[in-house]
Amino acid sequence: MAQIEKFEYDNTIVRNFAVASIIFGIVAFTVGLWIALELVFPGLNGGISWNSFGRLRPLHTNAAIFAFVGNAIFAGVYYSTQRLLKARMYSSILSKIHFWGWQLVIVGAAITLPLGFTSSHEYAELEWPIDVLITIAWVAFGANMVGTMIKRRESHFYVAIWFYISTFITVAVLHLGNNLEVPVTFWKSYPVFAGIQDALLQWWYGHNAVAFFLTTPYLGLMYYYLPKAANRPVYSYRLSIIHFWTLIFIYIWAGPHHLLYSALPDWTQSLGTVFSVMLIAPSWGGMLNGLLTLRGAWDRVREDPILKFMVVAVTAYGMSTFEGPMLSIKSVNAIAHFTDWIPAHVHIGTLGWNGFLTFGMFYWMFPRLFGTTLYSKKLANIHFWIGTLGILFWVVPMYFAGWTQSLMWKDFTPEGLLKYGNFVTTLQSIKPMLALRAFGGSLYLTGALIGFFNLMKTAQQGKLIRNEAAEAPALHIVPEPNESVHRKLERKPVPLLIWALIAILVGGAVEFFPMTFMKSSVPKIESVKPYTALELQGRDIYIREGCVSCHSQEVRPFRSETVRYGEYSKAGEYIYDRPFLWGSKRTGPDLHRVGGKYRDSWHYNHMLNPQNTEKESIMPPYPWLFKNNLDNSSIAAKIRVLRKLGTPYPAGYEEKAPAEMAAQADKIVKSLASDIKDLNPDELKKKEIVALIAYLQRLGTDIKAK
Amino acid sequence: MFKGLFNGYNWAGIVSLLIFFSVFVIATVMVMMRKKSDIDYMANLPLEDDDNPENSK
Ligand code: HEC
Repeated sequence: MAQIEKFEYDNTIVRNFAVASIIFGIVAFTVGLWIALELVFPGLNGGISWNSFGRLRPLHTNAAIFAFVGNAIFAGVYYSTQRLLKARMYSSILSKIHFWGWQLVIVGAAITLPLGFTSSHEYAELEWPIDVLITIAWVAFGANMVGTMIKRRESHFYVAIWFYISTFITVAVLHLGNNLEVPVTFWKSYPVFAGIQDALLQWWYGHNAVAFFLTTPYLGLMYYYLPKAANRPVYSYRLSIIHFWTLIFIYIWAGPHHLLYSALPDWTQSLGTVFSVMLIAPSWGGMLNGLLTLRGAWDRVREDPILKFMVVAVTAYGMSTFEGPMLSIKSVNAIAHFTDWIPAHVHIGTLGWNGFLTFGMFYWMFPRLFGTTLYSKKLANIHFWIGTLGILFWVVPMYFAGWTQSLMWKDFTPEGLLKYGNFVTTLQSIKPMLALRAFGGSLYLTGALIGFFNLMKTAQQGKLIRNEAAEAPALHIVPEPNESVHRKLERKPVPLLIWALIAILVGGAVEFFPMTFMKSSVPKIESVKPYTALELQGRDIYIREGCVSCHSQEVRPFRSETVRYGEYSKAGEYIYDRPFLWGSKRTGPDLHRVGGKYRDSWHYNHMLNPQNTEKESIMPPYPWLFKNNLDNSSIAAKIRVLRKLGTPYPAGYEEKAPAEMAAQADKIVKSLASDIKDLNPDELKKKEIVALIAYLQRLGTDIKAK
Repeated sequence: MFKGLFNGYNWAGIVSLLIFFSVFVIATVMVMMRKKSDIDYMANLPLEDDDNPENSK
């Protein structure tokens, strides 16, 4: 027998991440509630740029995913990894770099996103300098994990550790893949790929961010904290291994289910559908494994708020992993995509699965970190019930809104006309649902505040056990005769890492390589030309303002859409779109064919205050576009970068651009002045709004017969 | 060259089903070959240090 070694667990780093998670969680929920209210009361943004929906929405999503969930993952992982491997974290310095680097990323996000610095890739909006910082923090995390695995005292890796490791490796690959971008300035970059390739890459990332940031680490946490809280081993350890391999292998293929009926080639869409449907098997295997762990202990669930949180979390996991595959079936997707059904689906996942598992975990963990008992079990119960009600009030109205609005979009009169030709009529019908959703959000936030209070009180009444004493025999591996391959794998960190990497790379590669390297995957359209310099500037304003969070640019090939918007979108139309701006939610109408639909003056009045042209609109006003002068200082650099990436701007275009921009602006200003009295053309032509109008009027016109 | 391959029939569906099936079978076989004692040992790893303060009181 090896000799017993004494060592200490680092609880300080766990506490730090946990507190950061709760505080940022409250910020994320508050911003979410705020933007939900902005949809109900559009006046709330007060015409302030950083306060408008399009800029705050990415702040909400990033805060929820990376600040709340991210910090919770790290707290949970650092606590359980040390105990499962019977070792202190490999390096306190790496822990600190990881912690402070991550918080710096969050602060950077909180500043830059409201300022409109965004790559517009959903959940990867942060611009390149922050991407670099994320990489540093993430590498510190990974190195710390692998280091701990190497100097461990337990020879075998429990399944939770595998989930953590696959998370580390996959998120690293995703992050690097989706942020292949070329900087123009410190806060502006263009992605390497354009149009449908950019879309495919983004949703390969977006989907797998859900898979490997919101799911696999949480499954690892579930496999540790649920047995802990229930004080019994997981129902079937064998099932958990099957769960692991099939899940990480299949998940990575499913991304294209975000792009059904789009201009993406059919075979990619099919791949996305089939793999998504198959995902139900491992996901439900995992969910049942979690729930069955509690067999025979249901009487305790009734009493213990921690187990209650966990049961609802695992049930929510089951619900969203049933719903996800269903939503990937084309006929269901045709109804649900672009509607409020999708946010409902997402919030079952984040509020239910991630949120409730996090709270359950913290209620379990805090008394142990602080050597005390939970301050108030009653408050934890209240939190549980308010939170559950909050989730219900959030998702049920949104399911209803999604259905209602989608059916209205598709409804025809017997004469074959759109029954609700005016988009706003369909919006009008769901406004009460939007209000109920905000109410649900406020309940959830209230619950979280109660939780925060309860956990802080718990901390106060105890004392942080910074270094928790532990002992275990030194690592002493005796390979058994006839050991199976998998058993060997279970105690070798590096091969485990490599196998997991192979599993996730295969899927990505099969989808992506043919798309990127086969010319024929994007049929060229002769009449599609690059944006003019002014339109490009307008497009970058569209990106900055986050119009993409309410508007799609992807007309699907349905009669209901071609009648409403015009010709359906073709892959060849997007080849100069860096980044692609298809969007994922139609709070407002699709804009891919808006070019030429209205006069310039209509856009002018509409952007100044949408309620000028449409009384019931909930689109925010953009008064600052009428005050700010267009910043042309980097236009030459933008053109050069885009040319390098393949946009065929003629040589020397960057020198001619200023004159050309002035001429195009003059034309727009002239047309505005002929419709609107009291304009000052000389001032107006310098303003941002002119560039935005130029872009909007260009949208989707390249393939229109002139 | 690839054109005929990617159009025509739903090769993506068939191939992906086969891949999934083989991963599933391999994982299952590997897991089923494990000894029960190993599995129980692994399953109990989280429970080894019983650090529940309410228990120690
Ligand atoms: C909060 C969601 C939201 C945001 C953000 C938003 N819009 Fe809208 N938009 C709407 C809604 C709702 C409508 C429909 C009512 C109306 O016409 O105002 C609309 C309508 C439009 C229309 C008219 C489309 C048509 O076919 O009638 C245009 C053009 C437009 N928006 C452009 C923009 C631009 C440009 C931005 C970014 C600067 C933007 N929108 C940001 C919600 C939004």
